Amino acid sequence: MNTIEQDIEKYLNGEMTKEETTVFLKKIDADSGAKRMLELYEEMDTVYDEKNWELIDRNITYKKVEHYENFLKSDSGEKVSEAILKAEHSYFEESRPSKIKQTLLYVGAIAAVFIAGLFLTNQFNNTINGDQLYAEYKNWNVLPSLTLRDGAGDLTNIEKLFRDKRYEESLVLLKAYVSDNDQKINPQILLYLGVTQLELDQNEAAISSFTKLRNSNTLDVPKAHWYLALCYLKLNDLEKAKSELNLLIGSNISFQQNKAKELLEKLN
Amino acid sequence: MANQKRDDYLLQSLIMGDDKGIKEIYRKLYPKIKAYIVSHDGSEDDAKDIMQKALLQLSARAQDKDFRITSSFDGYFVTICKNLWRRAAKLSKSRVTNEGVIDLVHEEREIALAAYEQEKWELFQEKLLGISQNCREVLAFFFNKVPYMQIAEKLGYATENTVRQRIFKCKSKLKEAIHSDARYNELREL
Repeated sequence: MNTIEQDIEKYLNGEMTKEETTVFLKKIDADSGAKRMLELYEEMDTVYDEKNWELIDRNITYKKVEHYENFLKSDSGEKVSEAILKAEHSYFEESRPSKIKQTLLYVGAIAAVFIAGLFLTNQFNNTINGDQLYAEYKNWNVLPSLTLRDGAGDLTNIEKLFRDKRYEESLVLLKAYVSDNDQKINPQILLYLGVTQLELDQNEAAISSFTKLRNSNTLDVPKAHWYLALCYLKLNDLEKAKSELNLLIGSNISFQQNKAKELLEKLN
Repeated sequence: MANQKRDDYLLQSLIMGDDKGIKEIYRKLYPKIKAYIVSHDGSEDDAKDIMQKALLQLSARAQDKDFRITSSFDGYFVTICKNLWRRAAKLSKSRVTNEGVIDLVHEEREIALAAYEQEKWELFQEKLLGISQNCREVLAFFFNKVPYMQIAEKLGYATENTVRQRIFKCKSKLKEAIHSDARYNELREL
């Protein structure tokens, strides 16, 4: 095993001092072989991490990427693309119920609405199911990663438990983290805390966590509007959900803008 | 239709752009893809999008006459879709957290990038299978960020330091296997 590999390992594990890092990076810059080796080690770290995905550098045009792109833009590529659209259309048409079945469904649905109408006098204004929209729009993949390279810290454990849907255990660590770092607001932690509380049906506590984020002086304030909107959807409080969505849209940050507009349209 | 014949027919349909064969892929695999995406925080529209992108990606790659699927068509296609969903999550996370600006590019370019990344991922998986069982185990823990101490407990190593040394050797072997494969160098060609 040569020294450069040992250095790369140390560097990737974050075990170098500032001075060592500077010397190491200079050495790497001057040695193309070592640079390639470091790149490969970095690639391995990402490719083999099952929860990650290696996005290649978009500024480099690899021959293969160009080759695939040329095919997709060619006549043959367009032919394939059209065939996929045709197949998709035909498949979803076929999956729809037949006209007779559809008519029966409509008749059944009308009858059901009519019968329901006899019993429900107060609910006419609230035909939108907030809970269903909540399930449709919650997407925890957009939460930023808390993981650090060393892989042993509290934050790493919190994220791992969260991603494994072990919310109760994750909540214990999150609360401990918040109480240990009481003086400083960590927006990412508040996001994880609120979402974990939502998953555990501690809806009021979730609202309180996201409100704390909304009242903070951090850059993530607008994000709190999105998560508060989800909380209110879950609780079927559609007016409050709409108000949070309007605030998010008004904030002009790029976070979930399209989804917020789409959702607001559905609610209106 | 026998399995191999059916798989060949499906792949050929994608190469040639035959909508009847592609519809067969939808019939067979779309319900599985939808179930996976919806159970992983996605919507039905996400599932449709991933399905389309996976079909285009596979078509682009399968134009190469040397392209082969070594497992079943179904298993292979589902893996592509799962990876595309992981990729979508990473893209969205990178955009939200501004970890290096990820510019929006036109659709063909995005599919070409995804095809390239999938090809590289497959090569790396193949190489991982080529090293010893013990190395695979220890590296699986390491790459998935299990702390050294826990790896030592799980695999019966005496100390954290022994684990570090083992990981170091295994990573080096794996690196060598990837590095010496002509396909890796071909992927890097500019």
